[in-house]
Amino acid sequence: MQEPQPPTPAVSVPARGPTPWERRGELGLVSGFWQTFRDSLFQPHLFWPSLDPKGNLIDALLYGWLNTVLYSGPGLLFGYVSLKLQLPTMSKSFNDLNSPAARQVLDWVQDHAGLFMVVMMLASLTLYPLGQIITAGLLHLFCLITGCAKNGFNATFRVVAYTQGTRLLEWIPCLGSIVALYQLWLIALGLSKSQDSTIGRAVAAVLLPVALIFVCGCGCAALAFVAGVAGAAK
Amino acid sequence: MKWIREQPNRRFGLLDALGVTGWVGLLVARFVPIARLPFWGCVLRQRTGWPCLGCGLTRVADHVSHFHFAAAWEANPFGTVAAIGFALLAIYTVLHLGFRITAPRVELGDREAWALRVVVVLAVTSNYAYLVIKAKFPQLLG
Repeated sequence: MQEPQPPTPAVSVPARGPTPWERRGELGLVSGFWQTFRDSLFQPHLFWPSLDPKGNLIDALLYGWLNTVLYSGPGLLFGYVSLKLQLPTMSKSFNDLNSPAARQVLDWVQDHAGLFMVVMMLASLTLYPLGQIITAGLLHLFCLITGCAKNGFNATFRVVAYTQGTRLLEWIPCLGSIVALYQLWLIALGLSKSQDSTIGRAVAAVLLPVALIFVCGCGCAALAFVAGVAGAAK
Repeated sequence: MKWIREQPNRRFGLLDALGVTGWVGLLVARFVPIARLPFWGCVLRQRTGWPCLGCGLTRVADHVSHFHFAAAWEANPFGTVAAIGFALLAIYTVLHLGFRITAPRVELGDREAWALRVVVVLAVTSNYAYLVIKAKFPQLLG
């Protein structure tokens, strides 16, 4: 006769509620930020199911904005050094474009690398809310197309905002692309949990706009130029 | 399909986000000569003569922001519809956030949502077919 098996522990499904950042009043600003940063990036299987899809948009926006602010310091420093080192190589590649206007832009960036980096950082800091709104709005359109929008725009906005912790890892040399891909994965995972949908629909919602950019000639060209300059700046 | 009347509010939603996108896109198109930027241009069309899926969208944004709707339609019909949609949402956002005027919320059933997705895909495909014919076989358009 088989011995009775010990009962398997029930899988604990975290209850939805405010994030540690949203409880910063009781936890403290630093503790609330750190716990949210740690959980969203390194314990996503616990963080995303517990994210309240109907929670506050402003708190989520502020969290993302704070990450951008904290990134700006090391990002500016490492970006400037990287830009100075990589611009000569980029300059050779852009020579093949045979475009005097592109050449002019690159020469200006080369001569004013510091100013360019400061302007990029200031633009990134001040325009972050606009970027966040536009990104969430357009992403939610694709969520509607793929059927991953059960809990509405609020949920999508909060998912995008709470993945901004990856910004603090972007400045690490050679890790930028990996971190960007990880952020896409986190957004897909977050959407699947917050919108009570499947991971397949969420991944489709995230990848569809990326695919559309790649089938658009101007989008590809713009992306290549921006990636080239931004890659040098990282 | 259900049309649900919303109470007056200033709750920021998807339509407002798209309206903000519309404002940014159309203001940039209105005042920034995007097409003259050094890296702008369709490499696919330049090398192969075949238009890409988004062919003409820059011109659409430029024309719509200058109220040249016929020229925008000529450049990319579906893109023109989308651009006008974004422009209308931009106006809605001002009315909603400034004066608490709300649009009714539309709830589609599963079959209606599926049908709408099919319509969107067909519209994008037909639009691309029109762009290809215009670029490669203009004699078919008369």
